[in-house]
Amino acid sequence: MMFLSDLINYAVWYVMIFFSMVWLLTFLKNRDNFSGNPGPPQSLPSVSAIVPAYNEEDVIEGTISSLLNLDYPKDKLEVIVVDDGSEDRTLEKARKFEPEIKVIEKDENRGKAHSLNVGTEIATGDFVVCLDADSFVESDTLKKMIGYFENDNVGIVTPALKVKNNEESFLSKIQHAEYLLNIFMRKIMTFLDTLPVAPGPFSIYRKEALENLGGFDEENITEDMEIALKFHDAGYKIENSSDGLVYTICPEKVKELYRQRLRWYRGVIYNTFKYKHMLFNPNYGNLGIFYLPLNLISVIMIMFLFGLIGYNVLNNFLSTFWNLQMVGFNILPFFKELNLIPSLDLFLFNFTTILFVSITIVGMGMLYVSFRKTDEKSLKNKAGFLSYLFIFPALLMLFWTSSIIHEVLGIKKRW
Amino acid sequence: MDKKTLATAAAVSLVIFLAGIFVGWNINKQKINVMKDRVENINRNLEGLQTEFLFLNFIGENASCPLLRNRMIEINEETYKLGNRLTSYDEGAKFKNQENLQELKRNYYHSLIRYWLLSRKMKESCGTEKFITVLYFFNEDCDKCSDQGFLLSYYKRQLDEKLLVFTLDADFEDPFIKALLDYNNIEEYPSLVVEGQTYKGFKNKDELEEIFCEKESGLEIC
Repeated sequence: MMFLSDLINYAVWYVMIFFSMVWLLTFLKNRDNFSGNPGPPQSLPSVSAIVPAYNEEDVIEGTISSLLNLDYPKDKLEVIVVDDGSEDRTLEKARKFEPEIKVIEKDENRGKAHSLNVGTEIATGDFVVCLDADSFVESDTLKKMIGYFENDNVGIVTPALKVKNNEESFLSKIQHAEYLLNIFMRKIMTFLDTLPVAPGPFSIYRKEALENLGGFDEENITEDMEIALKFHDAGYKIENSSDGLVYTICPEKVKELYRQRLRWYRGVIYNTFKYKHMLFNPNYGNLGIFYLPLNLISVIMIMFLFGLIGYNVLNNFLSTFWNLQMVGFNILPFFKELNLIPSLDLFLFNFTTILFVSITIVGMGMLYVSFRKTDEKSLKNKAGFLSYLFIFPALLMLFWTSSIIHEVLGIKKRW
Repeated sequence: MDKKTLATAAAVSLVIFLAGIFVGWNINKQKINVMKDRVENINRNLEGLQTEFLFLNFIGENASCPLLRNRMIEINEETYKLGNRLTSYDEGAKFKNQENLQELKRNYYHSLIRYWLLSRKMKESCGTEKFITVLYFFNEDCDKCSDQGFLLSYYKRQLDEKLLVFTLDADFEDPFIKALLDYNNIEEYPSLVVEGQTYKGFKNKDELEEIFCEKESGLEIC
């Protein structure tokens, strides 16, 4: 067991270093193209913005306003709100913007993907952009993104997502760091043509391609991942604008975050298996050979590592409990030589501490670079960034394990 | 991804990985050197202790025994710390040099045995010194050895320099350890030799306390 766990440790370490090198080399090769976008075409195409909404009365007005404030010719932009059977005042608030926008009222709640398909069906634009009802787009974002479609192979263009409520709670500060790193990583993924997701907030689709591919999967609670893989499967490219900004609301409490991540991670597993024909398939380039297998292997490694950590924690706990019961739970003598500050000598260094320090240095380096590249001037969020490096991974590992268990047991999915 | 990027990434990763292993191996080597120095330091202290024993006859018990006591306390702390480090290194370190480790263990055990012998002699010579010596024998296959080790550590923390525990691995190939095993008639593990008397098998908390108090009633736990 110990030999196997050592082997897994070393394999994990090598694989992590290898993929970090791939990202780094890709970034270095393309660093001059990281920021900036191809300019918008002289003749701007028509775009339909669809807002699927369910019980978003607090934020829907802000979302619609941000769309109407887009720096884009009004005759080339239509806004469609699809109300998915809201039980609050979402519909009423959306209707206040008519006739500048179109409002579709559905009889019953049938999910986001269905709303997007309904919106796409009535959309008149050559391109369709989806904006979640709790997200807000910068006025210049559409023009920054639309130019990528000059390449006929491009099927989807994705934005740079940031967190709007980054000051509200400690958890949202951590996610602020996460989203900045994601902007950086997603751009690198597009250089490798491995971007596996078209985020709900403000991903733009070539309408003809979307319709030919059958639109969004209405049975899928992560339709944003599924649609990206669908486009890849059909041979389209997915591009990313690292400075086309969209702000979204992130969960502020652990329970909300858990529900969100449960949905996301179950989606990764489900969609990876739905498109399993792409795994290890050279016809799908880096996505097939490199990224999707990496996801699958990561899931298996997470299960194994979590099992190992769980076993060790339980073992240590039981062993400590057993020892303490032998001495009648008299723990006072153990405080005599309690050393809160370990002595700084060679014996502090072992495999675990070296690995921990190395990952910390690499993680901080990546965060710093993503900081610089995403033009994030504020350095006030030190606690959030440090927590993202040291605390968040443990939380995500728990969420991943729960997701794997849910998916394996086939527990009903919900939003 | 072009093959050049892939090959470069694989090569650089391998270099970093091997560098990590090399650094780890070197750190382990240095750890052994540090522990060797500590053993040598303990041996120097033991030689000093032996010199002080010679003074005992010359200048008398009242003047010598405090000197001996201070030296014993110093050696006690060093051997305890070194013993923990050696155990932790043996259990946890990757890429150990077994030959160096075995030699280090041999030197450490010899130092322990010398310390034990001198501590027994000190107790005979300095009648006012209240402490207990415990030889603790364990081996790899012993189920209760871990529990016994924990209980001894517990009392060690409580009694500090009043309890001197000398932990010896009965599986370790060494003539001095073998001699002690034979002399004390050790046949099962764990076994304790408390102030020269052998106790076979696992002793729980109450049993240990009874044995210690029987040997030295002035201890704070009695």
